[in-house]
Amino acid sequence: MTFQLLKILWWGLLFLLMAEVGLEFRAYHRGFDTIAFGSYQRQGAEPNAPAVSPTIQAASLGDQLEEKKAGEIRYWIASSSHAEDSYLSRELIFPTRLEGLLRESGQLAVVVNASHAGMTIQANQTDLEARGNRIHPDIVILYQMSTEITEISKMLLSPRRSESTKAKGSGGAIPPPAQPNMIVRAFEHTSIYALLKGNLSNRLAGQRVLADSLGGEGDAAFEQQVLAFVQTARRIGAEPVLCTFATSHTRSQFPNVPDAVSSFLFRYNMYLSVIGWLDAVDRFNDILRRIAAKEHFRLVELDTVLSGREENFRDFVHFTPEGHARVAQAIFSQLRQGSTSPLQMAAPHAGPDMQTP
Amino acid sequence: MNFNSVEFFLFFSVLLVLYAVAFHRMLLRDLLLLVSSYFFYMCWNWKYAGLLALSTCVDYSVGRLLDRATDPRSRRWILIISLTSNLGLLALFKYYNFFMDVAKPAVAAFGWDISFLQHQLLLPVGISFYTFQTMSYTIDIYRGERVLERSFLKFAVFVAFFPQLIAGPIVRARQFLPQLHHAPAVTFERFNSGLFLVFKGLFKKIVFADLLAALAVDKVFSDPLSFSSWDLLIALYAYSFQIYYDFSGYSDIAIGLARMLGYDLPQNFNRPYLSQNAREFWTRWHISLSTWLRDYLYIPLGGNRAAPWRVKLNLMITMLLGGLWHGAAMHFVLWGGFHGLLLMMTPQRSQAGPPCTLLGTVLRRLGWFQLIAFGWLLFRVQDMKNFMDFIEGCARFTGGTRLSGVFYLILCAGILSHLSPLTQLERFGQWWIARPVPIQAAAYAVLLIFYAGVTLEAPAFIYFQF
Repeated sequence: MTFQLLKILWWGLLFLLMAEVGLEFRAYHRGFDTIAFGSYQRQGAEPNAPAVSPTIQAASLGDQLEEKKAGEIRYWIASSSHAEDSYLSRELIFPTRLEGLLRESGQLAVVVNASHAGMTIQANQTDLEARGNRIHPDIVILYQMSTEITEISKMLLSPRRSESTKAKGSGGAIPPPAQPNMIVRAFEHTSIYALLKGNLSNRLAGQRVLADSLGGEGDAAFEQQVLAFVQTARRIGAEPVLCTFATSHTRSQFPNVPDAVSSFLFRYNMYLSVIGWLDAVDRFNDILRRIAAKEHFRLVELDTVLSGREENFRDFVHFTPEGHARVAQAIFSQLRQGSTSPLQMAAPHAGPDMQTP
Repeated sequence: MNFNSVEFFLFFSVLLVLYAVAFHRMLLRDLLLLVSSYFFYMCWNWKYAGLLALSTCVDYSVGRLLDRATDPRSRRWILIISLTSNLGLLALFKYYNFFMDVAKPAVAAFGWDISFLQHQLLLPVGISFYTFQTMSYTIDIYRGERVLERSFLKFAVFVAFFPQLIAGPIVRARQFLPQLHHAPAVTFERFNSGLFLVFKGLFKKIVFADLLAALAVDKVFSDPLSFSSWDLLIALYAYSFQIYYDFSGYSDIAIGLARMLGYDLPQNFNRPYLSQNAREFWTRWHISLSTWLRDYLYIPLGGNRAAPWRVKLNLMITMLLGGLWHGAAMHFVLWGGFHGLLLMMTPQRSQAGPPCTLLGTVLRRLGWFQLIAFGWLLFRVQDMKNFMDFIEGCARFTGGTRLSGVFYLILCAGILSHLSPLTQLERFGQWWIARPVPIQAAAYAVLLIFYAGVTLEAPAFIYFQF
């Protein structure tokens, strides 16, 4: 055996590399971050802005925050890609805008954006537990649902998982989904993967036998996650604020949901039908309302304010700059309405793009 | 590390480069194969590599001792050491809890609770395969076959050779060990035909087996009562093809990988659903296991050189144990028993009637396929409740389908692929490997991308659990 024999592999590797570089070039010019060409200049970003996404910066900022000053109020945003929008500059996303609104109102506010794409409520909780005692947030705002629906549907509806759970007789305990290793994560960053996921895998996923509901077990799983999170928030001395989840299309609009929405949903979810997904949003929002009423938490009704209005969304669950502004305004209004000592706030000076819809 | 994973793709690429460097030095080559095989195994669970090493050491030593011993009685005792250690490992890791489950109710009648005796040990992947392989080695030496391997390194490579370590084919010592004593035959044609087999196996696994499972089979079997009778029947047929493509895909990949490294592994499948009776089925399905059971169980029991009732009993015992080999659960035993029953009812070769007409052959094949599919129902269900739900769902005779058009399309393609003549496939393979290298490489690159795109969940091969 000689290296000469392996030339078919070298050729194959070369073709794969060529395909990846070609696709990255295309992706870059369409506004995506790529491995080979780097980060795309985001919409609204200043030329010398330090980072397009606030998250990385905010995460490190969170660790580097100085001692709390007198009168300073710290807000902790626990979310996922909704608050770490890789398409928008940090000035345009709602955590930054919220901080602006709070400061304009005269408050010495610091908003720590503890959100990463793909985070679940449990990950938010772990993060809050790990860093909360150092950062001492006064208010913890939770805006989560889509990742949770994906994870819960994986846990409850994956036939192999449910069979193995039954077989092991674990009494209904749901094993956590396996996390991809480093090699798989690296592959998931390639443009080839993104292209396949958005054009082939999602179409196939839509051809499966899909469930139309997560049922009572799904409700219980979600409620348990939210309650665990708010308990952690209380434990570190912060006030939890819940937000209902908003989507570009609602259940009442079904079946007039555009293909783009279904296509988006099946990129991440292989078990729930579109109606099942919309049903889960409604049920989980009701759970949030119930928990807020029962525990006397403040609740930001983003579902009522934003849902079903396409101008607020760039896809099914991620906001446009206008959507971010409205989210920030809605949270700000709720915080101001429900403010009690030491969170007294002055009237805001909202900018032209920060009007409540 | 599954064959259909990015990790394996990287692992094998690196191994090939190192193999090319070490190729002309026998010791280095064998060492590399051994280390890479253990690395491959330890990627699943590093702790259980010790079991593999233990099995290797015991059977290597037993082989040497058997070679030296001349007294039949001591030879028998030495063989018993090998059988006890191999079957003991299997019993402990695979069957212990099963037998405890069976014994628990009986013991409970006396007021005793033996739950504390159950363990939570993981089933070591591939244990059924490599124990059968090492057992056949010692039995062959005991029987006087000249298969003794004096080099521990080569014997360890034979036991742990990674392409077939996890799910076969179960290789006999006389098939594999002699290959380790010569420079492996790696030519351009063999290397490329091996690569072709690997991609063919991946196609079977990813496009047929995994998609049939993901699009319908898993869902239907997990909740049979929510589907129509038609859907249940179609899902059962689909599972029959899923398990075939899953396992034969694995075998193709294993054979292809071994060929790329210069070694030959035996064929394990030969279009089994074209068989016309139980006996023919077992000469086409999992050939390496059925021949193992024939040579090391059925024939020692007396085979077919006995009274008719005894032959039938031998068949039943062989198939019951064959079923149990697949897994420690009652439905596997029932599956084995069902096939034992079918074999008992199949006339011996000497009693077979005249050849059938074409229509007769087609009808026989179709009829026999219904029986195989029913057998797969026993094999696939989780428990007897799941089985009864499935039967109840079928007995409702309801129509309508919740299964998608793409699923039906893949099922039809799978059936057609199974029916296509072998000569055509072989001819295509020969034609393909004669194409210019860049064309082959480009096609493989496109196929790899396609495989990544249609992989929804990347489940492990079904036979990994056995």
